[in-house]
Amino acid sequence: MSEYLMTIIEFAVPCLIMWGILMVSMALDRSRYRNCVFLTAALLVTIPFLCSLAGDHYGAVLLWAMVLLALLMLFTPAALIINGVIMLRREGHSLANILSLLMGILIGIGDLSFFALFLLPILWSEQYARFISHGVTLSLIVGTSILYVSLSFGGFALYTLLLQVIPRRRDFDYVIIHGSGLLDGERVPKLLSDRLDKAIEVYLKDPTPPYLVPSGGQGPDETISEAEAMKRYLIGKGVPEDRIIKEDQSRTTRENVANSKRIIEAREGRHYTALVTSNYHVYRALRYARDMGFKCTGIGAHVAPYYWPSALIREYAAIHSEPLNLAVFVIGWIVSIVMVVLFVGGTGGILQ
Amino acid sequence: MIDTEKKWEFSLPRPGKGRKSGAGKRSGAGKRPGSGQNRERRDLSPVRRKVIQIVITVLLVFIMCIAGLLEFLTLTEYKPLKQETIDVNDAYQAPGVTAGDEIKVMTWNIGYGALGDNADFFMDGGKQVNTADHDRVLANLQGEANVIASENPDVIFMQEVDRDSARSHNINEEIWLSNSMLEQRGVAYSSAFAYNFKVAFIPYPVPPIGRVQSGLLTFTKYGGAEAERIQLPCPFSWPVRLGNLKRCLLVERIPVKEEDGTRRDLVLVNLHLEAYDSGEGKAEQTKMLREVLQKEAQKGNYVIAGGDFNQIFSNADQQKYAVEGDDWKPGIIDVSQIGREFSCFMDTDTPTCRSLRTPYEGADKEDFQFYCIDGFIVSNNVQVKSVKTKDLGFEVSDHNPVILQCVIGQKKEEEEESAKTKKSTKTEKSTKTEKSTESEKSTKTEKSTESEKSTKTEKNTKSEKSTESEKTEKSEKETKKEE
Repeated sequence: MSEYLMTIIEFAVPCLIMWGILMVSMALDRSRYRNCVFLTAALLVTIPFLCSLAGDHYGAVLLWAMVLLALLMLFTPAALIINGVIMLRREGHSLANILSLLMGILIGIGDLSFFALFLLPILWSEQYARFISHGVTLSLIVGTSILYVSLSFGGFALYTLLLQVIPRRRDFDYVIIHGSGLLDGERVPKLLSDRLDKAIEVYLKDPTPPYLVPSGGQGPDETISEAEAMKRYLIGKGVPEDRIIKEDQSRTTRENVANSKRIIEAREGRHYTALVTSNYHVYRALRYARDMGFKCTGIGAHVAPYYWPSALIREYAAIHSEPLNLAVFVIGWIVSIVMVVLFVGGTGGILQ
Repeated sequence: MIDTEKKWEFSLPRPGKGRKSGAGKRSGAGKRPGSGQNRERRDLSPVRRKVIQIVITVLLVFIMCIAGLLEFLTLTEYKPLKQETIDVNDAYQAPGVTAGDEIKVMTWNIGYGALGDNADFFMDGGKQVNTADHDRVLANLQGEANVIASENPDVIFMQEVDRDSARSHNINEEIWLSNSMLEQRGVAYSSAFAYNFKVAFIPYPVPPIGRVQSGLLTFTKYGGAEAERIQLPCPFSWPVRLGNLKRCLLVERIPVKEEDGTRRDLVLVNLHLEAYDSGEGKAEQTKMLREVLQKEAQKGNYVIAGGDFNQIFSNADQQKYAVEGDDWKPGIIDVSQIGREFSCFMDTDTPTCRSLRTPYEGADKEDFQFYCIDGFIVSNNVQVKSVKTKDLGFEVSDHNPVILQCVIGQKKEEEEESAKTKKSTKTEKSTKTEKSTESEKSTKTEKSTESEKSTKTEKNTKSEKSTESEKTEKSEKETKKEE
């Protein structure tokens, strides 16, 4: 067998293993935190594999890939700041809306300090000394942290995206629709109408029409419950009233899932359930469902793209409010810093 | 005031009570058989679910780490070309080589400075992985430098010289030895280095070997050399290959000043052949070695190849170092396969290597497994005077150095010259050398082939203490020539 083919196979094996792990993990449970990690690992490992297809030009292609990734990372703070400005303009001033702006500034500062601390000494000194001065160590820690958080967040964002595109069943018995705040106390906002439209789409595509379960209680500044507003919208769109089961006691996403679950399980027959919410929210909603032992399929409704950065940041933060996830994140952070410092520090052998 | 929120389509079941049928609203047509089971969810307790989750996660993460390690090692794999030029560090104003020069070549596998008499190694059936601490490595290196200083060879072939390995505590042994030799000799040696073992992290055993950067190092007193690295066939395939050596030949060429002005080189070949394979790897590599040597011989060059063959020559006494039990077993090189232009030399009087199954210190020396696997292959236009293994008691390395005394070319210069050069004199232990000097003097006026013949005949008839292998080889050659 030619050397070219051998090399490709060598890079393909770890690549296939990584994707295999992801698929097994997702088949077992789509809502697990580890899936984000596996997806990130699989994507990272795929890059050298794709480069190896270039044969003799492998080195050059890999270098270009690294340069592209570096440029992407540098471009990110700028993109986030721009997005932050758009959010403030369109959605008004609130803490939730300046998230992406803040994140952009934070990452921007991190990138600049990394370059200042790490690259300048290399460029200035004639010979890259094997042992590291404090400034360079600090820059390594900063740089590794940025890289780590970027990979972690990127993996999370991409996994959220992956959940949208993977095929899913069509034949549901129940479709829970996740409610949100109302406009003027009683009208359905765009965010919610997008979800309802998605639910209707699922309803129409289903071979046997499912029950729709609009879920959401009545907030202090609302005149009717979210469930009622949603029901009215659905009826207005032509859904028969006997196919709508309201759940109007919940005030949080968790309660949405819990209460809807109870309603559904109290009924006879099959319980294949879909949960419709905004696409960035699917992952978290599924986690709540899973924690209650409720097996359902997450379906994401369309959301204006400019909304994604701040929404994803919020979701990312919320996911890490679970202690186990936070622990994994922090451990991963420490491990990656330790490994980078050791490796670059030149001791190489980890136990020596 | 809207009171819709209290209007349920049906009533919620209260906890504890049995199932309530939905008021008239059912999916599909009537009750399905077994629908009762559907409603009674046999959920695992949350704790049990969590435990299963954690087990699955740990398992998958473990597999991910293995795949990640494979990827990392594949990315960082040392992949030398079949042939690469090696930069030679020329010593300042080092002299050249002239035909007729007598030179002393030493070959020594220094066991990366960590395989002294205290060491056993897991690959040979022993227990240790980290065989020497930082101070011990320096002590071993110092011992090696002292031997080199006292022997004062013109050429040194070294194997297992670490540049930056975890196993030798990241000491750059090349630089350390070069500096020490400079200090002791007052003048630097020229040096050339070729990697044959370069792995970012070897993940086995426990504790792992870690990072290795090691290779062949050739020192000479001469200048004007060119060097190249020739990759030998690797018997291992991916992924085992990732943690293994990429063996090579370090070939150094020094121009030789000839009387008649013909262009000839002194070709020095440093080698370290496959150790832990099933035998095919060694054979393949020996074959390539032979091809390289043949090519040089055809050009008329003076070729001296030496190092750790991990095999014994067929013209050496096999019985003396027969392997009992399941110690590591060396291969055998059939010297008749090397070619008529070459002779193969090993000194079986002293072992060149010891087993690493147990430490040497305090072991029963009578019952110890030794080997004879280091030696020389020399082209016949180089006159070999002696090949002797130096017995150092395996204190600083698991190998002993082997020393070759030879003359570049067929005959020495005038009598005055040989009287001046005290090197090849009676002070040498080997009486054979004595005899050869005498016989050379008497035959200097004769033609080269004839003188060689008579020299050798004289050597042969004198039953002196000499290396068995040399004698047998020379008589073999002789018979061939006479035919």
